[in-house]
Amino acid sequence: MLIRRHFVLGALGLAAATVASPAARAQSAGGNTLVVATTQVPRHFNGAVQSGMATAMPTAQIFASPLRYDDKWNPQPYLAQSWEVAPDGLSVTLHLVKDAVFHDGHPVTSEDVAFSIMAIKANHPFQTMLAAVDKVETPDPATAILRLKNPSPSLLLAMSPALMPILPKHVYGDGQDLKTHPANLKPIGSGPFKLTEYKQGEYYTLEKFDKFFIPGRPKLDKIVVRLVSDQNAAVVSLERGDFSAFPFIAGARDIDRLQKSPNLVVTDKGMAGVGPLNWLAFNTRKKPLDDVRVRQAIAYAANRDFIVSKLMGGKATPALGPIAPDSPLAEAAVEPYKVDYAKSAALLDAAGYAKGADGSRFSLTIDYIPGGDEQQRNVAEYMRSQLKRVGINLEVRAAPDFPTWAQRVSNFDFDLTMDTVYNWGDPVIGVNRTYLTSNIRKGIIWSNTQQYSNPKVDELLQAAAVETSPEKRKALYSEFQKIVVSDVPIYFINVSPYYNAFAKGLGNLPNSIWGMMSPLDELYWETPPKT
Amino acid sequence: MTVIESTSQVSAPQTDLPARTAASPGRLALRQFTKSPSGVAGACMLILIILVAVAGPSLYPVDPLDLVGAPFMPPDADAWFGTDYLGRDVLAGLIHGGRATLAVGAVAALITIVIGLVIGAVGGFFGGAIDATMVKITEFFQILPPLLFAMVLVTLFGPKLTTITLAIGGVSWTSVARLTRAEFMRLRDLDFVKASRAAGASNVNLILRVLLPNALPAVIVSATLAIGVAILFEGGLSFLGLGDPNVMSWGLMLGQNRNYILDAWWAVMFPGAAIFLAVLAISLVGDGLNDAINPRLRRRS
Repeated sequence: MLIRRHFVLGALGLAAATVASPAARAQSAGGNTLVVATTQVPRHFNGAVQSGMATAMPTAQIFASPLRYDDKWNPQPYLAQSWEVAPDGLSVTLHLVKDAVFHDGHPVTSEDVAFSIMAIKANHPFQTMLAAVDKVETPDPATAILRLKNPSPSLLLAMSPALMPILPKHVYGDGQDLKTHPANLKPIGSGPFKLTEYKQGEYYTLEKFDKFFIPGRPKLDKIVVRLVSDQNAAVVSLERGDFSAFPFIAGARDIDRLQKSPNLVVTDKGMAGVGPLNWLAFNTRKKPLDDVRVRQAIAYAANRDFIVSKLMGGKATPALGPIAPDSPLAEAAVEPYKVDYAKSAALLDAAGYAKGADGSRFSLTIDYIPGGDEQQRNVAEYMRSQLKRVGINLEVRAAPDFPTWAQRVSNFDFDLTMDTVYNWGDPVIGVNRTYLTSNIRKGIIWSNTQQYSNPKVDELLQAAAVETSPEKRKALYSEFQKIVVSDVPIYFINVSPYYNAFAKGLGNLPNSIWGMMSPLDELYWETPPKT
Repeated sequence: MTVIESTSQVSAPQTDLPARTAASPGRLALRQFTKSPSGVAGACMLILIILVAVAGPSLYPVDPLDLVGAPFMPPDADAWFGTDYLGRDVLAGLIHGGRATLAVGAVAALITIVIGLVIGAVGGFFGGAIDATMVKITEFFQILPPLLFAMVLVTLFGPKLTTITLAIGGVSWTSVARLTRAEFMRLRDLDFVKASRAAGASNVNLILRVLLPNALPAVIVSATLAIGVAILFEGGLSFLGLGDPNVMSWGLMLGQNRNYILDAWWAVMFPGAAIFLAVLAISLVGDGLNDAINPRLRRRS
């Protein structure tokens, strides 16, 4: 009996060995590698000082963060195995995992967490994100206590991998300016992958970190990210099987084409956290746009349904308000501005802009961000013919490059402009900046360039930022959304469609709210691609 | 046949007394031009294109910037040439856009000729330090790749039809300048010029009334071709996203619709064909003119 059991085990062991060897060969031949193509070229790999998807994607692989998120906006333990928010909301305690180490072998301690949080607060472009943090205490190496000036319910979302990479203090804390730190291009983190090679403008290679603190992960050995400049070429290569993943695909035709490919899984999941909104903004201090009736009239003359279904090929989701519809805080019951030319004309008449002899009321200009034709230019051109119907002459002002457009808009030198602004999870991080009176800052793009000012809105946003009760907070944001939509500093159009395409055969696709900007430690090949 | 032709013309354009025979070289050139089938075909095409561009908008008064239907409607009874990515009428774009395209071509060519003539004539006539300066200026512009230079200008001053036209004219005058300069240098020491100078003609008079008429034939050919080049330039700039979005032109149609070529070939192919035909017509006319005006070349061929 005993012998027999040994025999069976031995046979199993033998079987395992014979099964394992071809797998091992496949691995050495690159069978457990994921090749990603992206048009998002990072400036460097330090998400503590740089926002944007291009940096967030590698940052989430290289660095671990206190928390991570699932696909329903629930925080999950990561470097922090547990956490508590004090009843008064004025402190958050993180209990760190004890066996986490950086890629250079140093243990991850609360000192590193404290250093990173203060570094992000000082350097990250999202100034409101950690504004509430006063200091971080480190009673022992596994405990970090964030002391806050006021309650900050958005703080837990700010602890996501895309926004709060934990940097090793012994590397980044050497006194050099973090924004230009040499380690930003040779990063050392505690995430599932380490950066082993970076060829500027061509590719970067992430290799499995074998001392990653979650046992058995990451499941992939290697991720190669190829930086491509031409989306069309990348689409063709993806169909051919040169790449296994292509995140952040914009453009209805490419999405449509990839969706028809039998070897690919194409999904719009994984962008809920970013919440990229595409909209038409008004310069609310410039005549005649300072009159809310004129702005409402323009909103009634635009046809969101047509834009989304026809101009964007049905791949975009309509957005009615300032908070992306995927967010749990989004309010659906706002004025939708269904197309109504009669109402639009009546509003313009009431505002005192009657039609002249030539059938026109006044002339305006519209700008757009150059480069993204489907989301920006085409809508601007479409608006010209829509507004002509209600007697407004709209001239399209093309900008030859992004800095020209940004300069015009940030210096309030515009009437109407198309714009794309991201929510970045919590309103405090990415929404407030567009509406707060205090954020009318000339020269800074993606601040309150509409020069919109409503004391009630300021009050609501300030109250919601420190409101610890989720229900009350949601109610405050609901009211905020209704007011902003009826004041129309912005006519909201849609969520910019960013789709991710993956080769069939991949398991545990990154469908969480941060998608490809979350650690890919669970992603694996169910059926590896043929080599 | 050829013998009669060449003897009848041998003395005409080269005469030292342009006033007396003024009517005859033009008439001779026209007669010669009509004998070149390709030149006549080009001229007919060009006249047709100009007629459509001039008269078309009143015969087909659809605003080319208006949305007339759904995007990407294929050519059918409602829209003969289909609609583009916004639902704009491609036929209206072709008719109205021809006006802008031809205007850009003509005005840019005019700018090319004026700048080229002034620089070339002044340099070629005066010689010496003035010539050296003019040649340096010409060379400065010549070494810059014209399309890149035009892109920089349009980027700097904004993509409007006027700036685009000025940019095209401003970068493509160098060949005209060199041609004019060479002609002036050849002519300025000939006897009839010396005679005029001895008779007391001023420099301005010499340049405008003695030398220019004799240098003009070569310049006319190059001007004709410059129109074609300018049209291609406008297309190229629009293709690179530097077209004026408020004025429909063939180049703009081509540039804006090219991303959707797989969904709507008609919105790319028709303006592309229009540009092709217009430039071809202009080239044929230019070649025909060249043969008609340049007697030496004619005798050789």
